[in-house]
Amino acid sequence: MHEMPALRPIEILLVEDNPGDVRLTREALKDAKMSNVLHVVEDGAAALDFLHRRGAYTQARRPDLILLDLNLPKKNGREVLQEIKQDPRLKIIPVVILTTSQAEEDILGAYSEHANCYITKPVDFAQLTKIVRTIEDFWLSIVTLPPT
Amino acid sequence: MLTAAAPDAPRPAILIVDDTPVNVAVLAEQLGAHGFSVMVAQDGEEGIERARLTRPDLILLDVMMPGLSGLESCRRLKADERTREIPVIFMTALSDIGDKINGYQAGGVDYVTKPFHTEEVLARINTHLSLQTMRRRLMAQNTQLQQEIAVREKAEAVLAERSTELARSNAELEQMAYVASHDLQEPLRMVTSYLQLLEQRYGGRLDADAHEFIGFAVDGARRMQALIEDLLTYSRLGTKGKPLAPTDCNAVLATALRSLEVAIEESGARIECGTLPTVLGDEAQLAQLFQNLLANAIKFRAGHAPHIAVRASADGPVWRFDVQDDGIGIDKEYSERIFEMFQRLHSRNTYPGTGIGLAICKKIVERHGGRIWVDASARQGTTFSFTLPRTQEYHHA
Repeated sequence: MHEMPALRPIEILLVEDNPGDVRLTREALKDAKMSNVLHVVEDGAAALDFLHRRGAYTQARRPDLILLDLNLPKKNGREVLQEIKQDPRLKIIPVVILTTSQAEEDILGAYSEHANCYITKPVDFAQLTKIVRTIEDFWLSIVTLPPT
Repeated sequence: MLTAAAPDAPRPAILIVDDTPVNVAVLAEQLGAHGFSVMVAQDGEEGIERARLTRPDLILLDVMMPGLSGLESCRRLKADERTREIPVIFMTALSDIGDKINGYQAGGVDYVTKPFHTEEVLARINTHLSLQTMRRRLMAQNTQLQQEIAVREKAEAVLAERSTELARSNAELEQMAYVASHDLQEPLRMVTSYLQLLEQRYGGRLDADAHEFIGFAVDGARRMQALIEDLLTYSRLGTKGKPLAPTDCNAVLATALRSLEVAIEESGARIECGTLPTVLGDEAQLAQLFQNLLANAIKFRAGHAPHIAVRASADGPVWRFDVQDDGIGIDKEYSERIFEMFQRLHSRNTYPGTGIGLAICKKIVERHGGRIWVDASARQGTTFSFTLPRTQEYHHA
Protein backbone atom coordinates (compact mmCIF):
# COMPACT_ATOMS: atom_id res chain seq x y z
CA MET A 1 0.00 0.00 0.00
CA HIS A 2 1.34 3.40 -0.87
CA GLU A 3 1.31 6.48 1.31
CA MET A 4 -1.98 8.36 0.94
CA PRO A 5 -1.15 11.50 -1.00
CA ALA A 6 -3.80 13.42 0.95
CA LEU A 7 -1.54 13.65 4.00
CA ARG A 8 0.15 16.58 2.48
CA PRO A 9 -1.47 19.09 0.13
CA ILE A 10 -1.07 18.38 -3.56
CA GLU A 11 1.26 20.82 -5.29
CA ILE A 12 -0.16 22.00 -8.57
CA LEU A 13 1.64 24.28 -11.00
CA LEU A 14 -0.64 26.25 -13.29
CA VAL A 15 1.03 27.84 -16.31
CA GLU A 16 -1.52 30.34 -17.59
CA ASP A 17 -1.34 33.98 -18.71
CA ASN A 18 -5.05 34.83 -18.70
CA PRO A 19 -5.88 36.19 -15.22
CA GLY A 20 -9.54 35.37 -15.77
CA ASP A 21 -8.70 31.71 -16.36
CA VAL A 22 -6.27 31.69 -13.43
CA ARG A 23 -8.94 32.85 -11.03
CA LEU A 24 -11.50 30.40 -12.41
CA THR A 25 -9.09 27.51 -11.93
CA ARG A 26 -8.30 28.71 -8.42
CA GLU A 27 -12.02 28.89 -7.57
CA ALA A 28 -12.66 25.47 -9.05
CA LEU A 29 -9.81 24.01 -7.03
CA LYS A 30 -11.16 25.59 -3.85
CA ASP A 31 -14.07 23.18 -4.02
CA ALA A 32 -11.76 20.23 -4.59
CA LYS A 33 -11.90 17.29 -2.25
CA MET A 34 -8.18 17.12 -1.75
CA SER A 35 -6.30 19.96 -0.20
CA ASN A 36 -4.04 21.53 -2.71
CA VAL A 37 -1.62 24.37 -3.14
CA LEU A 38 -1.84 26.18 -6.42
CA HIS A 39 1.25 27.88 -7.85
CA VAL A 40 0.76 30.12 -10.81
CA VAL A 41 3.26 31.35 -13.40
CA GLU A 42 2.30 33.55 -16.34
CA ASP A 43 4.71 32.51 -19.04
CA GLY A 44 6.81 29.63 -20.32
CA ALA A 45 10.17 30.99 -19.16
CA ALA A 46 8.91 31.45 -15.60
CA ALA A 47 7.47 27.93 -15.71
CA LEU A 48 10.88 26.45 -16.48
CA ASP A 49 12.56 28.64 -13.86
CA PHE A 50 10.04 27.32 -11.34
CA LEU A 51 10.61 23.70 -12.30
CA HIS A 52 14.40 24.06 -12.27
CA ARG A 53 14.21 26.04 -9.02
CA ARG A 54 16.27 28.93 -10.31
CA GLY A 55 15.92 32.69 -10.58
CA ALA A 56 13.02 33.89 -8.45
CA TYR A 57 11.98 30.33 -7.68
CA THR A 58 14.85 28.80 -5.71
CA GLN A 59 12.43 27.87 -2.92
CA ALA A 60 9.87 26.27 -5.20
CA ARG A 61 8.60 22.78 -4.50
CA ARG A 62 8.42 20.12 -7.21
CA PRO A 63 4.77 20.03 -8.35
CA ASP A 64 2.73 16.80 -8.36
CA LEU A 65 0.80 17.95 -11.41
CA ILE A 66 1.28 20.59 -14.08
CA LEU A 67 -1.63 22.32 -15.82
CA LEU A 68 -0.19 23.87 -18.97
CA ASP A 69 -1.76 26.29 -21.44
CA LEU A 70 -0.36 26.25 -24.98
CA ASN A 71 -0.70 29.95 -25.82
CA LEU A 72 1.85 31.65 -23.60
CA PRO A 73 4.06 34.70 -23.94
CA LYS A 74 7.84 34.18 -24.10
CA LYS A 75 8.24 30.42 -24.39
CA ASN A 76 5.03 28.84 -25.69
CA GLY A 77 3.40 25.82 -24.07
CA ARG A 78 4.69 23.34 -26.56
CA GLU A 79 8.30 24.38 -25.98
CA VAL A 80 7.79 24.11 -22.22
CA LEU A 81 6.30 20.65 -22.70
CA GLN A 82 9.28 19.56 -24.77
CA GLU A 83 11.77 20.76 -22.17
CA ILE A 84 9.90 19.09 -19.33
CA LYS A 85 9.62 15.75 -21.10
CA GLN A 86 13.25 15.79 -22.14
CA ASP A 87 14.56 16.49 -18.64
CA PRO A 88 15.24 13.24 -16.74
CA ARG A 89 14.01 14.64 -13.44
CA LEU A 90 11.04 16.62 -14.72
CA LYS A 91 9.61 14.23 -17.24
CA ILE A 92 7.96 12.07 -14.60
CA ILE A 93 5.60 14.90 -13.58
CA PRO A 94 2.17 14.46 -15.23
CA VAL A 95 1.40 17.32 -17.57
CA VAL A 96 -2.21 18.13 -18.41
CA ILE A 97 -2.53 20.45 -21.39
CA LEU A 98 -5.42 22.81 -20.64
CA THR A 99 -5.94 25.07 -23.61
CA THR A 100 -8.50 26.76 -25.88
CA SER A 101 -7.34 25.22 -29.14
CA GLN A 102 -9.27 22.33 -30.66
CA ALA A 103 -7.01 22.22 -33.68
CA GLU A 104 -5.87 18.75 -34.65
CA GLU A 105 -2.30 19.94 -35.13
CA ASP A 106 -2.14 21.13 -31.55
CA ILE A 107 -3.64 17.97 -30.10
CA LEU A 108 -1.37 15.75 -32.14
CA GLY A 109 1.62 17.91 -31.38
CA ALA A 110 0.99 17.79 -27.64
CA TYR A 111 0.64 14.04 -27.53
CA SER A 112 3.72 13.65 -29.74
CA GLU A 113 5.67 15.59 -27.15
CA HIS A 114 4.40 13.16 -24.50
CA ALA A 115 1.77 15.30 -22.82
CA ASN A 116 -0.08 13.06 -20.42
CA CYS A 117 -3.41 14.32 -21.65
CA TYR A 118 -5.04 17.17 -23.54
CA ILE A 119 -8.12 19.03 -22.36
CA THR A 120 -9.86 21.81 -24.26
CA LYS A 121 -10.88 24.60 -21.89
CA PRO A 122 -14.57 24.17 -21.15
CA VAL A 123 -17.13 26.78 -22.09
CA ASP A 124 -18.32 27.51 -18.59
CA PHE A 125 -17.53 27.24 -14.92
CA ALA A 126 -19.77 24.26 -14.24
CA GLN A 127 -17.80 22.24 -16.75
CA LEU A 128 -14.49 23.49 -15.39
CA THR A 129 -15.49 22.34 -11.93
CA LYS A 130 -16.34 18.93 -13.36
CA ILE A 131 -12.98 18.74 -15.08
CA VAL A 132 -11.08 19.70 -11.97
CA ARG A 133 -13.01 17.04 -10.09
CA THR A 134 -12.16 14.51 -12.79
CA ILE A 135 -8.49 15.49 -12.73
CA GLU A 136 -8.53 15.11 -9.01
CA ASP A 137 -10.21 11.74 -9.07
CA PHE A 138 -8.10 10.42 -11.87
CA TRP A 139 -4.66 11.81 -11.30
CA LEU A 140 -4.71 12.26 -7.61
CA SER A 141 -6.85 9.41 -6.29
CA ILE A 142 -6.83 6.57 -8.75
CA VAL A 143 -3.51 7.02 -10.41
CA THR A 144 -0.34 6.18 -8.59
CA LEU A 145 2.03 9.10 -8.92
CA PRO A 146 5.75 8.63 -9.06
CA PRO A 147 7.52 9.12 -5.78
CA THR A 148 8.88 12.61 -5.34
CA MET B 1 -22.03 39.65 -121.61
CA LEU B 2 -19.36 39.83 -118.98
CA THR B 3 -19.01 43.08 -117.19
CA ALA B 4 -16.53 44.17 -114.63
CA ALA B 5 -18.52 45.03 -111.56
CA ALA B 6 -21.65 46.62 -110.17
CA PRO B 7 -22.35 50.07 -111.58
CA ASP B 8 -21.50 51.97 -108.38
CA ALA B 9 -18.32 50.02 -107.57
CA PRO B 10 -14.98 51.55 -108.49
CA ARG B 11 -13.86 50.34 -111.88
CA PRO B 12 -11.17 47.66 -111.72
CA ALA B 13 -7.90 48.94 -113.10
CA ILE B 14 -5.97 46.90 -115.61
CA LEU B 15 -2.40 47.65 -116.64
CA ILE B 16 -1.38 46.42 -120.10
CA VAL B 17 2.36 46.12 -120.69
CA ASP B 18 3.15 45.66 -124.36
CA ASP B 19 5.72 47.23 -126.66
CA THR B 20 3.41 47.15 -129.72
CA PRO B 21 0.70 49.78 -129.28
CA VAL B 22 -1.30 48.48 -132.22
CA ASN B 23 -1.80 45.09 -130.53
CA VAL B 24 -2.96 46.77 -127.45
CA ALA B 25 -5.28 49.42 -128.81
CA VAL B 26 -8.13 47.16 -129.70
CA LEU B 27 -7.88 45.24 -126.49
CA ALA B 28 -7.73 48.40 -124.44
CA GLU B 29 -10.83 49.74 -126.13
CA GLN B 30 -12.67 46.45 -125.55
CA LEU B 31 -11.77 46.40 -121.89
CA GLY B 32 -12.79 50.00 -121.48
CA ALA B 33 -16.15 49.26 -123.03
CA HIS B 34 -16.68 46.48 -120.51
CA GLY B 35 -16.21 48.71 -117.53
CA PHE B 36 -12.51 48.43 -116.86
CA SER B 37 -10.18 51.34 -116.43
CA VAL B 38 -7.14 50.70 -118.59
CA MET B 39 -3.52 51.89 -118.41
CA VAL B 40 -0.80 51.13 -120.89
CA ALA B 41 2.96 50.80 -120.48
CA GLN B 42 5.28 50.29 -123.41
CA ASP B 43 8.08 48.31 -121.82
CA GLY B 44 8.94 46.21 -118.81
CA GLU B 45 10.50 48.95 -116.74
CA GLU B 46 7.69 51.41 -117.35
CA GLY B 47 5.25 48.65 -116.55
CA ILE B 48 6.93 47.92 -113.22
CA GLU B 49 7.05 51.62 -112.35
CA ARG B 50 3.38 52.11 -113.19
CA ALA B 51 2.40 49.06 -111.20
CA ARG B 52 4.24 50.30 -108.12
CA LEU B 53 2.64 53.70 -108.33
CA THR B 54 -0.92 52.90 -109.31
CA ARG B 55 -1.39 49.36 -107.93
CA PRO B 56 -3.67 48.04 -110.65
CA ASP B 57 -6.01 45.13 -109.91
CA LEU B 58 -4.52 43.05 -112.72
CA ILE B 59 -1.61 43.18 -115.20
CA LEU B 60 -1.65 41.93 -118.79
CA LEU B 61 2.01 41.37 -119.63
CA ASP B 62 3.50 40.74 -123.04
CA VAL B 63 6.04 37.93 -123.03
CA MET B 64 8.17 39.15 -125.97
CA MET B 65 9.55 42.57 -125.24
CA PRO B 66 12.88 44.21 -125.99
CA GLY B 67 14.94 45.27 -122.98
CA LEU B 68 13.39 43.76 -119.85
CA SER B 69 11.60 40.59 -120.95
CA GLY B 70 8.10 39.76 -119.88
CA LEU B 71 9.34 36.91 -117.69
CA GLU B 72 11.92 39.08 -115.95
CA SER B 73 9.39 41.88 -115.48
CA CYS B 74 7.07 39.39 -113.85
CA ARG B 75 9.79 38.14 -111.54
CA ARG B 76 10.55 41.69 -110.43
CA LEU B 77 6.89 42.46 -109.86
CA LYS B 78 6.63 39.37 -107.67
CA ALA B 79 9.80 40.21 -105.81
CA ASP B 80 8.46 43.60 -104.77
CA GLU B 81 6.10 43.59 -101.79
CA ARG B 82 4.11 46.44 -103.26
CA THR B 83 3.24 44.59 -106.46
CA ARG B 84 3.51 40.95 -105.38
CA GLU B 85 -0.21 40.33 -104.95
CA ILE B 86 -1.28 41.73 -108.35
CA PRO B 87 -2.25 38.84 -110.66
CA VAL B 88 -0.23 38.76 -113.89
CA ILE B 89 -1.68 37.31 -117.09
CA PHE B 90 0.88 36.75 -119.85
CA MET B 91 0.04 37.70 -123.40
CA THR B 92 1.75 35.58 -125.98
CA ALA B 93 1.73 34.71 -129.67
CA LEU B 94 0.94 31.09 -130.48
CA SER B 95 4.61 30.50 -131.27
CA ASP B 96 5.65 31.30 -127.69
CA ILE B 97 3.55 28.59 -126.10
CA GLY B 98 6.60 26.56 -125.01
CA ASP B 99 7.30 29.25 -122.45
CA LYS B 100 4.17 28.49 -120.46
CA ILE B 101 5.98 26.68 -117.69
CA ASN B 102 8.57 29.42 -117.40
CA GLY B 103 5.77 31.90 -117.18
CA TYR B 104 4.04 30.11 -114.29
CA GLN B 105 7.37 29.69 -112.54
CA ALA B 106 8.00 33.40 -112.89
CA GLY B 107 4.73 34.00 -111.06
CA GLY B 108 2.19 34.44 -113.80
CA VAL B 109 -1.28 33.05 -113.15
CA ASP B 110 -2.56 32.63 -116.68
CA TYR B 111 -2.00 32.98 -120.40
CA VAL B 112 -3.94 34.54 -123.25
CA THR B 113 -2.88 34.12 -126.84
CA LYS B 114 -2.80 36.66 -129.62
CA PRO B 115 -4.90 37.30 -131.59
CA PHE B 116 -7.23 37.85 -128.61
CA HIS B 117 -10.68 36.50 -128.33
CA THR B 118 -12.25 39.28 -126.35
CA GLU B 119 -14.68 37.06 -124.51
CA GLU B 120 -11.93 34.66 -123.55
CA VAL B 121 -9.71 37.45 -122.28
CA LEU B 122 -12.55 38.95 -120.29
CA ALA B 123 -13.43 35.60 -118.84
CA ARG B 124 -9.91 34.99 -117.62
CA ILE B 125 -9.59 38.52 -116.30
CA ASN B 126 -12.82 38.21 -114.33
CA THR B 127 -11.82 34.83 -112.96
CA HIS B 128 -8.59 36.17 -111.62
CA LEU B 129 -10.12 39.35 -110.32
CA SER B 130 -12.69 37.27 -108.42
CA LEU B 131 -9.92 35.12 -107.05
CA GLN B 132 -8.09 38.22 -105.99
CA THR B 133 -11.17 39.66 -104.31
CA MET B 134 -11.73 36.40 -102.45
CA ARG B 135 -8.11 36.27 -101.41
CA ARG B 136 -8.30 39.81 -100.05
CA ARG B 137 -11.50 39.00 -98.20
CA LEU B 138 -9.92 35.91 -96.67
CA MET B 139 -6.92 37.87 -95.51
CA ALA B 140 -9.14 40.55 -94.01
CA GLN B 141 -11.16 37.88 -92.20
CA ASN B 142 -7.98 36.30 -91.00
CA THR B 143 -6.73 39.57 -89.58
CA GLN B 144 -10.06 40.14 -87.89
CA LEU B 145 -10.01 36.64 -86.41
CA GLN B 146 -6.49 37.16 -85.13
CA GLN B 147 -7.66 40.34 -83.46
CA GLU B 148 -10.63 38.57 -81.92
CA ILE B 149 -8.36 35.85 -80.62
CA ALA B 150 -6.07 38.44 -79.10
CA VAL B 151 -9.03 40.15 -77.42
CA ARG B 152 -10.36 36.84 -76.17
CA GLU B 153 -6.97 35.74 -74.86
CA LYS B 154 -6.67 38.99 -72.99
CA ALA B 155 -10.17 38.49 -71.54
CA GLU B 156 -9.23 34.96 -70.49
CA ALA B 157 -6.11 36.25 -68.79
CA VAL B 158 -8.17 38.79 -66.89
CA LEU B 159 -10.64 36.07 -65.95
CA ALA B 160 -7.90 33.76 -64.74
CA GLU B 161 -6.42 36.56 -62.69
CA ARG B 162 -9.80 37.43 -61.18
CA SER B 163 -10.38 33.78 -60.44
CA THR B 164 -7.10 33.51 -58.57
CA GLU B 165 -7.88 36.73 -56.79
CA LEU B 166 -11.30 35.39 -55.81
CA ALA B 167 -9.86 32.15 -54.52
CA ARG B 168 -7.31 34.08 -52.47
CA SER B 169 -9.97 36.42 -51.15
CA ASN B 170 -12.17 33.47 -50.21
CA ALA B 171 -9.38 31.77 -48.35
CA GLU B 172 -8.66 35.03 -46.57
CA LEU B 173 -12.31 35.44 -45.56
CA GLU B 174 -12.45 31.91 -44.24
CA GLN B 175 -9.30 32.55 -42.29
CA MET B 176 -10.76 35.74 -40.88
CA ALA B 177 -13.99 34.04 -39.90
CA TYR B 178 -12.00 31.33 -38.18
CA VAL B 179 -9.74 33.73 -36.31
CA ALA B 180 -12.64 35.99 -35.32
CA SER B 181 -14.70 33.08 -34.07
CA HIS B 182 -11.80 31.58 -32.21
CA ASP B 183 -10.84 34.85 -30.55
CA LEU B 184 -14.43 35.60 -29.63
CA GLN B 185 -14.73 32.44 -27.62
CA GLU B 186 -12.39 33.46 -24.85
CA PRO B 187 -14.18 36.60 -23.67
CA LEU B 188 -17.43 34.71 -23.94
CA ARG B 189 -16.02 31.99 -21.77
CA MET B 190 -15.16 34.61 -19.19
CA VAL B 191 -18.70 36.00 -19.22
CA THR B 192 -20.38 32.63 -18.90
CA SER B 193 -17.99 31.24 -16.32
CA TYR B 194 -18.01 34.23 -14.01
CA LEU B 195 -21.78 34.58 -14.12
CA GLN B 196 -21.98 30.98 -13.03
CA LEU B 197 -19.38 31.55 -10.33
CA LEU B 198 -21.45 34.51 -9.19
CA GLU B 199 -24.54 32.31 -8.95
CA GLN B 200 -22.63 29.67 -7.10
CA ARG B 201 -20.90 31.88 -4.54
CA TYR B 202 -23.56 34.54 -4.03
CA GLY B 203 -26.69 32.69 -5.04
CA GLY B 204 -27.90 32.52 -1.48
CA ARG B 205 -27.78 36.30 -1.11
CA LEU B 206 -29.58 37.07 -4.37
CA ASP B 207 -33.33 37.54 -4.78
CA ALA B 208 -35.48 35.93 -7.50
CA ASP B 209 -35.06 38.88 -9.87
CA ALA B 210 -31.28 38.70 -9.64
CA HIS B 211 -31.38 34.98 -10.45
CA GLU B 212 -33.57 35.66 -13.43
CA PHE B 213 -31.25 38.41 -14.68
CA ILE B 214 -28.24 36.18 -14.35
CA GLY B 215 -30.20 33.45 -16.12
CA PHE B 216 -30.88 35.63 -19.14
CA ALA B 217 -27.26 36.75 -19.24
CA VAL B 218 -25.92 33.21 -19.12
CA ASP B 219 -28.44 32.12 -21.74
CA GLY B 220 -27.39 34.93 -24.04
CA ALA B 221 -23.75 34.05 -23.66
CA ARG B 222 -24.49 30.38 -24.31
CA ARG B 223 -26.35 31.13 -27.50
CA MET B 224 -23.55 33.35 -28.67
CA GLN B 225 -21.17 30.52 -27.98
CA ALA B 226 -23.24 28.14 -30.12
CA LEU B 227 -23.38 30.67 -32.92
CA ILE B 228 -19.62 31.16 -32.85
CA GLU B 229 -18.98 27.42 -32.81
CA ASP B 230 -21.25 26.96 -35.80
CA LEU B 231 -19.61 29.86 -37.61
CA LEU B 232 -16.23 28.28 -36.93
CA THR B 233 -17.41 24.94 -38.31
CA TYR B 234 -18.85 26.64 -41.37
CA SER B 235 -15.75 28.68 -42.03
CA ARG B 236 -13.47 25.68 -41.79
CA LEU B 237 -15.40 23.64 -44.37
CA GLY B 238 -13.39 24.98 -47.28
CA THR B 239 -9.94 25.51 -45.85
CA LYS B 240 -9.85 22.52 -43.55
CA GLY B 241 -11.54 20.19 -45.99
CA LYS B 242 -9.53 17.12 -46.87
CA PRO B 243 -8.83 16.28 -50.53
CA LEU B 244 -11.59 14.10 -51.99
CA ALA B 245 -10.99 10.37 -51.92
CA PRO B 246 -13.18 7.32 -52.60
CA THR B 247 -15.59 7.10 -49.67
CA ASP B 248 -18.12 4.41 -48.86
CA CYS B 249 -21.33 6.23 -47.97
CA ASN B 250 -22.65 3.23 -46.04
CA ALA B 251 -19.79 3.58 -43.58
CA VAL B 252 -20.30 7.34 -43.46
CA LEU B 253 -24.00 6.89 -42.70
CA ALA B 254 -23.13 4.42 -39.95
CA THR B 255 -20.83 7.00 -38.37
CA ALA B 256 -23.58 9.62 -38.50
CA LEU B 257 -26.08 7.23 -36.92
CA ARG B 258 -23.66 6.41 -34.11
CA SER B 259 -23.27 10.06 -33.18
CA LEU B 260 -27.07 10.41 -33.10
CA GLU B 261 -27.58 7.33 -30.95
CA VAL B 262 -29.03 9.24 -28.01
CA ALA B 263 -31.40 11.32 -30.12
CA ILE B 264 -32.52 8.23 -32.01
CA GLU B 265 -33.25 6.36 -28.81
CA GLU B 266 -35.01 9.27 -27.13
CA SER B 267 -37.27 9.89 -30.10
CA GLY B 268 -37.84 6.24 -30.92
CA ALA B 269 -36.84 7.01 -34.49
CA ARG B 270 -36.96 4.24 -37.08
CA ILE B 271 -34.41 4.80 -39.81
CA GLU B 272 -34.43 2.76 -43.02
CA CYS B 273 -31.25 2.78 -45.07
CA GLY B 274 -30.93 1.71 -48.65
CA THR B 275 -27.61 0.62 -50.11
CA LEU B 276 -25.44 3.66 -50.67
CA PRO B 277 -22.71 4.04 -53.27
CA THR B 278 -19.05 4.91 -53.01
CA VAL B 279 -18.26 8.47 -54.05
CA LEU B 280 -15.32 10.82 -54.16
CA GLY B 281 -15.55 12.74 -50.92
CA ASP B 282 -14.25 14.02 -47.61
CA GLU B 283 -15.34 11.38 -45.12
CA ALA B 284 -15.73 13.71 -42.14
CA GLN B 285 -17.70 16.27 -44.09
CA LEU B 286 -20.04 13.70 -45.61
CA ALA B 287 -20.64 12.29 -42.15
CA GLN B 288 -21.51 15.81 -40.98
CA LEU B 289 -23.88 16.16 -43.94
CA PHE B 290 -25.81 13.00 -43.12
CA GLN B 291 -25.74 13.83 -39.44
CA ASN B 292 -27.25 17.28 -39.93
CA LEU B 293 -30.02 16.02 -42.22
CA LEU B 294 -30.90 13.13 -39.93
CA ALA B 295 -30.74 15.33 -36.82
CA ASN B 296 -33.24 17.67 -38.44
CA ALA B 297 -35.49 14.79 -39.44
CA ILE B 298 -35.49 13.60 -35.83
CA LYS B 299 -35.84 17.06 -34.29
CA PHE B 300 -38.75 18.23 -36.40
CA ARG B 301 -40.88 15.17 -35.85
CA ALA B 302 -44.66 15.37 -35.84
CA GLY B 303 -45.41 14.32 -32.29
CA HIS B 304 -44.78 10.63 -32.89
CA ALA B 305 -41.73 8.45 -33.35
CA PRO B 306 -40.28 9.60 -36.65
CA HIS B 307 -39.92 7.29 -39.61
CA ILE B 308 -36.95 8.24 -41.75
CA ALA B 309 -35.71 6.75 -45.01
CA VAL B 310 -32.28 7.24 -46.57
CA ARG B 311 -31.95 6.16 -50.19
CA ALA B 312 -29.64 6.60 -53.12
CA SER B 313 -30.21 6.10 -56.84
CA ALA B 314 -28.15 6.58 -59.96
CA ASP B 315 -29.30 9.49 -62.11
CA GLY B 316 -27.08 9.86 -65.16
CA PRO B 317 -23.78 11.47 -64.19
CA VAL B 318 -24.75 11.82 -60.52
CA TRP B 319 -25.85 9.86 -57.49
CA ARG B 320 -29.01 11.21 -55.96
CA PHE B 321 -29.52 10.84 -52.22
CA ASP B 322 -32.87 11.32 -50.52
CA VAL B 323 -33.53 11.74 -46.80
CA GLN B 324 -37.23 11.48 -46.27
CA ASP B 325 -39.13 12.00 -43.02
CA ASP B 326 -42.74 12.09 -41.85
CA GLY B 327 -42.31 15.14 -39.62
CA ILE B 328 -43.85 18.59 -39.42
CA GLY B 329 -42.88 19.57 -42.96
CA ILE B 330 -41.74 22.90 -44.38
CA ASP B 331 -43.70 25.70 -45.97
CA LYS B 332 -42.86 25.71 -49.69
CA GLU B 333 -42.08 29.40 -49.68
CA TYR B 334 -39.12 28.83 -47.38
CA SER B 335 -37.53 26.08 -49.48
CA GLU B 336 -34.67 28.30 -50.59
CA ARG B 337 -34.25 30.38 -47.45
CA ILE B 338 -33.62 27.48 -45.12
CA PHE B 339 -30.23 26.88 -46.72
CA GLU B 340 -29.02 30.33 -45.74
CA MET B 341 -26.94 30.88 -42.67
CA PHE B 342 -28.69 31.17 -39.35
CA GLN B 343 -32.16 30.90 -40.87
CA ARG B 344 -34.67 29.51 -38.44
CA LEU B 345 -38.35 28.96 -39.07
CA HIS B 346 -39.39 28.44 -35.47
CA SER B 347 -38.94 30.26 -32.19
CA ARG B 348 -36.11 29.21 -29.91
CA ASN B 349 -38.54 27.88 -27.36
CA THR B 350 -40.13 25.34 -29.68
CA TYR B 351 -37.05 23.99 -31.42
CA PRO B 352 -33.44 24.57 -30.40
CA GLY B 353 -30.60 25.24 -32.79
CA THR B 354 -28.76 28.11 -34.42
CA GLY B 355 -30.08 27.56 -37.92
CA ILE B 356 -26.74 26.88 -39.54
CA GLY B 357 -27.14 23.13 -40.03
CA LEU B 358 -28.53 23.35 -43.57
CA ALA B 359 -26.10 26.08 -44.60
CA ILE B 360 -23.32 23.70 -43.61
CA CYS B 361 -25.01 20.89 -45.60
CA LYS B 362 -25.21 23.14 -48.65
CA LYS B 363 -21.58 24.18 -48.43
CA ILE B 364 -20.45 20.58 -48.06
CA VAL B 365 -22.56 19.37 -51.00
CA GLU B 366 -21.35 22.20 -53.20
CA ARG B 367 -17.75 21.57 -52.24
CA HIS B 368 -18.26 18.03 -53.51
CA GLY B 369 -19.66 19.31 -56.80
CA GLY B 370 -23.32 18.56 -56.09
CA ARG B 371 -26.62 20.28 -55.51
CA ILE B 372 -29.01 20.18 -52.56
CA TRP B 373 -32.70 21.00 -52.43
CA VAL B 374 -35.84 20.24 -50.49
CA ASP B 375 -39.13 18.81 -51.63
CA ALA B 376 -41.73 20.20 -49.26
CA SER B 377 -44.71 19.28 -51.38
CA ALA B 378 -45.73 16.09 -49.59
CA ARG B 379 -48.78 16.38 -47.38
CA GLN B 380 -46.77 15.23 -44.46
CA GLY B 381 -43.06 15.31 -43.93
CA THR B 382 -40.14 16.52 -45.98
CA THR B 383 -37.60 15.05 -48.35
CA PHE B 384 -34.14 16.55 -48.57
CA SER B 385 -32.27 15.54 -51.69
CA PHE B 386 -28.70 16.09 -52.79
CA THR B 387 -26.54 14.92 -55.66
CA LEU B 388 -22.92 13.87 -55.76
CA PRO B 389 -20.96 13.21 -58.95
CA ARG B 390 -20.59 9.59 -59.99
CA THR B 391 -17.13 8.27 -60.77
CA GLN B 392 -17.22 5.47 -63.31
CA GLU B 393 -14.89 3.04 -61.62
CA TYR B 394 -16.80 3.01 -58.38
CA HIS B 395 -20.41 2.59 -59.21
CA HIS B 396 -22.26 -0.30 -57.59
CA ALA B 397 -25.68 -1.67 -58.47
